[in-house]
Amino acid sequence: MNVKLNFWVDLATFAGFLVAMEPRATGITIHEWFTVAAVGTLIVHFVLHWDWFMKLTSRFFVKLFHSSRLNYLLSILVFIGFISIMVSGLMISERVLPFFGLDVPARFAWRRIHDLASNLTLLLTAVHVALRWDWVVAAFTRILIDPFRKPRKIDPVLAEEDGI
Amino acid sequence: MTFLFRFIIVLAAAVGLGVGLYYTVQMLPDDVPSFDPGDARVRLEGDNSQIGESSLRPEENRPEGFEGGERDRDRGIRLYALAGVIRRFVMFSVITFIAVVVSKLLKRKPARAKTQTS
Ligand code: HEM
Repeated sequence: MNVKLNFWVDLATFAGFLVAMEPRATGITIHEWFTVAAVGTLIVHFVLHWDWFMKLTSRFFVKLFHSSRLNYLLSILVFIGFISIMVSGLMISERVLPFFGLDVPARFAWRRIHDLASNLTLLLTAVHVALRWDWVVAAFTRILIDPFRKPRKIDPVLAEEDGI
Repeated sequence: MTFLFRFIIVLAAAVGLGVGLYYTVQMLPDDVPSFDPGDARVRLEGDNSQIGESSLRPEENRPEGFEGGERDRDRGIRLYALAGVIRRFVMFSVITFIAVVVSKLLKRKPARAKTQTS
């Protein structure tokens, strides 16, 4: 897996998520179009971790209680969380759906789900990041700090992705 | 090619789950469309002219230009609301920090137990 690509996709997803969490900062129009467009980035993020996900799926019941297993469950919850945010967002949409001439029956529950799913997903994402903290530090150091210092050293945390 | 194939599978899983969620919520018993407890207070205590406006959310009764107002919520990027983004960032960092500390502590435990028994 490409550490640099992963790092930038992760960072873009994180920054986009934070901005999306505050629709008043951008206004509803930007909030809706921006998040609909960001669906692609989210899916790319999941696809880039396909091998990790499949490896853990096959190993899931072999060794119980391990942080990677917890993160595996968390990543499924985060995935469901984002789907809930998107579906509920579309159901309360004031710009995107009307733009396509679609009119869905508004239900108050969707507003609640949108708000609740956003806050819960933020919390789950924070724990998800925390469980991969060693990777975050190693990738951050390699991509943003190492180019300014020499000589470069090999980080054991990234060795697997580097194929070492 | 593999990437595209995986992309389609993840997208299909997302759409499948999304459709499932849609039907689950739509099947729930009817909810109140836009009730806000603030409205009831207006009706009880406010003067008569307020009654006709009781379907408005409380924010809409605030003076023009009020920062949290609903009315100006679509006037593009607003700098003051960036404080909200910073607030979320701080919240995220605090949760991450606590989770990192807890996970490091939990990971250290078995190692200590091992050294004690050996
Ligand atoms: C990652 C994706 C998203 C996140 C994190 C997010 C987050 C939020 C949050 C936190 C709110 C404020 C809720 C409140 O204060 O009650 C909100 C409001 C809103 N969102 Fe989203 N949202 C996302 C995607 C979408 C999408 C895809 C749409 C529609 C196409 C959408 C439409 C709306 C609308 C219309 C509101 C205004 C609700 C109101 O007037 O109170 N959102 N969103």
